[in-house]
Amino acid sequence: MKRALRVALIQLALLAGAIVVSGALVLIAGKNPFAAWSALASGAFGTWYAFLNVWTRTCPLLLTGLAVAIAFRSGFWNIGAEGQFIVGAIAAGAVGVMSGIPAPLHYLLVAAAGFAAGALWCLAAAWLRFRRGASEVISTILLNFIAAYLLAWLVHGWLMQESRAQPIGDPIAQYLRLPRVGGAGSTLHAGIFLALAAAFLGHHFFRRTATGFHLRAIGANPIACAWAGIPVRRRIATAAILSGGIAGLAGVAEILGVLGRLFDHVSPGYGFTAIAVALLARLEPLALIPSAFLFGALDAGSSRMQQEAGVSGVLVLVIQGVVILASAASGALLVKREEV
Amino acid sequence: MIASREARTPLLQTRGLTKRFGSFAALDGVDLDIQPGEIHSILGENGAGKTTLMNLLFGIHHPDAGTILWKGADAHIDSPADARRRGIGMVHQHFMLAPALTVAENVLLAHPDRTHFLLNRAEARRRVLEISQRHGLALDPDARVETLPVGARQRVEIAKAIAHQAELLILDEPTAVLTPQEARDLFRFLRELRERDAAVVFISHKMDEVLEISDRITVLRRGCMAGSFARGEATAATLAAAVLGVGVERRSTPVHPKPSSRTTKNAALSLRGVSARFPNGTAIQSIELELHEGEIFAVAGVDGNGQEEWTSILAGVTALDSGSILLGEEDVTAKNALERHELGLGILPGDRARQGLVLDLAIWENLALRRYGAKEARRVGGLWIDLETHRRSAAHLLEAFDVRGPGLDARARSLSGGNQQKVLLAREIGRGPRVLVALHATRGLDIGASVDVVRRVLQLRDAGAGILWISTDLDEVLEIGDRIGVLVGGRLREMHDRNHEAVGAAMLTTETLAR
Amino acid sequence: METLDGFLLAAVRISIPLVLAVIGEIVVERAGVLNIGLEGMMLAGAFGGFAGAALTGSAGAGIFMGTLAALLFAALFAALVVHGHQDAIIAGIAVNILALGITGVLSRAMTSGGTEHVRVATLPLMPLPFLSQIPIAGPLFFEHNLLGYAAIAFAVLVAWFLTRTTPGLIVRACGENPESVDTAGIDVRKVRAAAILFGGLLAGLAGVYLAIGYSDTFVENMTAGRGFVALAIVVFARWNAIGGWIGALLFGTAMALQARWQGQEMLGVEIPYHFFQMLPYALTLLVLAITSSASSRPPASLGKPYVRGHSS
Repeated sequence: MKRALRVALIQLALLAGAIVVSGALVLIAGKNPFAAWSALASGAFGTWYAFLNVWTRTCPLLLTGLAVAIAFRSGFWNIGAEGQFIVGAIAAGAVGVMSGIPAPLHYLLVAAAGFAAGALWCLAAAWLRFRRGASEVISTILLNFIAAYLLAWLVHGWLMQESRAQPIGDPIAQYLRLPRVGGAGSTLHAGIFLALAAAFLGHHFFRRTATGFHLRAIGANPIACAWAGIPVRRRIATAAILSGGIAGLAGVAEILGVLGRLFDHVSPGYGFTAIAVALLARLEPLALIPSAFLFGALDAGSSRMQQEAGVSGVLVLVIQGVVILASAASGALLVKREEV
Repeated sequence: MIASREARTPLLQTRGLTKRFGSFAALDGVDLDIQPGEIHSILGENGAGKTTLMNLLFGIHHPDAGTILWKGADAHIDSPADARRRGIGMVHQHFMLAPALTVAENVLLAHPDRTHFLLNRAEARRRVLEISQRHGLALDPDARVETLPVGARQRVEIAKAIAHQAELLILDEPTAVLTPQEARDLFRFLRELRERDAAVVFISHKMDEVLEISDRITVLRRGCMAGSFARGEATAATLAAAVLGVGVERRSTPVHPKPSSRTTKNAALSLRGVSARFPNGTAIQSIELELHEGEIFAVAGVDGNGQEEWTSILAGVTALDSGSILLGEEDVTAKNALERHELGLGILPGDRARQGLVLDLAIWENLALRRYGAKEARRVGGLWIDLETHRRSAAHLLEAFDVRGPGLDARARSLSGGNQQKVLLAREIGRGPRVLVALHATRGLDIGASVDVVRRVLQLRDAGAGILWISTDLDEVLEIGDRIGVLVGGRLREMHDRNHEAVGAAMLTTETLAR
Repeated sequence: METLDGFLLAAVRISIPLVLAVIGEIVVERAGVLNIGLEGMMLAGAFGGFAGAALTGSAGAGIFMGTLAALLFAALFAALVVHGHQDAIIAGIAVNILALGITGVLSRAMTSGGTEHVRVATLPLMPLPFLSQIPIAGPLFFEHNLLGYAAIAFAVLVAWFLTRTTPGLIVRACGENPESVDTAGIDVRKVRAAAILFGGLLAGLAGVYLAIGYSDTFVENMTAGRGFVALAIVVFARWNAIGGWIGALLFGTAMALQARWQGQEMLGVEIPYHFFQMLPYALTLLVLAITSSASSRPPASLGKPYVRGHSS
């Protein structure tokens, strides 16, 4: 327990450092960092609905963060959570508008489609690594771009709404929409509970399932695992499927809970922020919850910061970057990168 | 030109040389005198401090106390480059060659001529040929190092070391990877160096070689000097006493295994025509073997003749090209590593840190590595694993195998080499396998740990298991094996004549590694 | 003929930033480091180029500022990876995110409406006398701006440097077997750091070209993944400088195709704009899928950090 506390303190310190660094940047840009921070804080926590909105953003970050953590822990560098999120959303937006399917089955179908889309998108990169020796870092990043343009293409074409007035999709069936949480003015939806449950399941997965244990071992020493009879490539493929699938489900949740239909852009970069979320949490599923909440708050407050203090919301990226660096430096990554 | 030896200043001297790593003194107060035109051997077991001494002489580490004198003057050898500049050359045990580059480029690399921006390839070729001629190294300057066999690569290392008039050449365990013939060539080269008045520091743990080649022998034990002998003063017995510090026979396992009383006619492990090609060029060629229950088949061979590759085939990590493997009556050729283990095959891989243990996981997790998902640990219809089952069984194993040190939850990394090997052993034989394949099982272990490992393996044999013991240590093989074999060029040959010379000779038959 | 000329010219121009980035990255990877942060360094170069030109009115200042910005990131990356032994992948990703964030904040701060609306001085074309008059080939090869010529010059220079010079040999050895370099008395870290800085320099020039050589403004995230395309081209070219140049030209052609075919009909079917936007990335993925690991062997120590004296 003591060790966990110490680690948590280190992570907090490093977060504080990141905030200081970004504050310095704000100064260089000629703006007032304190004005920026207070605008950010009031944007995130100023009202009850703002607070709920933070949780709304926490949901996709928690799920994509979990996706990234599962992959990274296994030594599979999935930088493609963004693209997997997008294809998951596409699947939800496409299957969700189909008619004539009884409601409960429809729900399952949408979830399955979203999971499968994300899983395939990640598995493609795993295939390229195993069969062609191509770094999954590069392939997942490329797949991100492809997914984004695919979405734009579909929304301008095949999946465009009936009226063809704007490049957005038809609204999905009303019964598919996730129930609202927190009252009429709130953006929060029941998907947050799914996300929280997923984090707990993730924790259980790593400690109390054979597959989760194997993934941890593979991340630490894939060669010894091969010698011990663990089917390394199969496990990494499983990690890729889980990772991509969960990211895909994050996309599904965003459609079902927030957006209700496909748009040209469905993600303000959740899949990328997820990397910082995962590293700040040191790849521990339970720690993802506060980490995702934090980045959710940063995201939620950033538009206010832009309006009031004139500092681009993009500043949050600077915090992310520093968090990533500092986390890696402090040993968040226990994984070796040997190729098997 | 050569003055009488006694009157000359020693080329290299150390006084009270000490080096600590943390609280551990790797080297403690070592005094050394190396004369020009002398072959001086440093003898000791693993962990005696030979490597540390060598690293200090070559500037890789700096001493914590004591002095080094070069040609009579105080010298602070800051770095390998500094050492080289003074005229000290080193041939490392693990070659430092760039495989994709040519011999000439590698030699150039050792002494990059910083004043010349442009590579003078013709000059480099010429120089390599010249050195090659002068010392009989037979090197082709344009050959890419990755195409050269091990013996040739060592000669490239030698060329690198002497390309700039080295006066002192240090060789670290140079014969570990050589065939006996290549070792003889090396000795010839060293004697020739001696004639040219250079000095040679020969670091080894092999007593017979040291007795053969040295003008002077310094014995290290636990970082301290344990004896210094001139040629003719030492015998195997006195050296062994100095190395081991006890009045013990020359061999390292004073276990004197009794021949097995449990050997049956039943085959525990059968190999029929096992062949495979590996990407590094090694080929395992049609291995036939019938290992019986209750016997140890010990296989000797020079490092690099396919031991690792063979073990990985047996373990199920690499697939065969042809042939079959049977465990008892059961054909396991198509079965993977996990299935073979379930059927009773235990493996001690050659590199315990890389292939055996997951150092960053806890000790109990390592012990459970093969069996985390086993039925007895599952609860609620397989939904989760009961960690206590694994921890309890780990605690039992640690006690049974006498693993001292940090508790179950400590990282495997924190264990000593000997204890790591014991954990690995516990994992593999804790459930009493029918067959154990052990590669380099005592490598890097001190006497106590080695003896312990061997004793447990003998117990396993006496319980009726079949053991395949693969080692580069000929003496160990001869001592332990109920039957003896030799692995050369990926081919296995059983030796019915157990004497040292016969088996040693068999190791050098001209079957080269097929490519 | 007209349109073919125009098309080829566009292809060559589009490939220039790729050439620069690829050549720089080849040196870095030959030294044994995988620079995933290439994208971020290019972006920094683009913003620096824009900012320099915007603030002073001179394109030359743009070049200076752009390379400086990229070098700062390169120095950060080098410090983390080479001296701090950080994982190069993570450091690279962090560089990319930081570059995106910092350039975003600064560009918004410079102009309230976003920089796309700001037009700046661009690099002037420098046609070579007489040579540029040659029909067809003239404008194609001899009518570029400074950076355009620099691209081909660097390609040739680096090819020669790696194979024919002593420092080039050392760089290659660092990527193959750093221990051998260490015992030769050369600091592997310094060599790798220098290689990273060189890569950063060229990445910066690539970015500058994007901002003020090819267009005349800065758009947030204007590198749009070119850095990753460059990484794939390095694999495709087997870490060979001339091969890298050719690979970059091929990709430039593909990208030019994309620009040309948008909105046009091909075989009577209207090809959507977004398909073409996807094309370069899909193509890169295809290249990765075809280039098998057996035929394209990277430098032996690529991606492995070097720690001295660990095997004692």
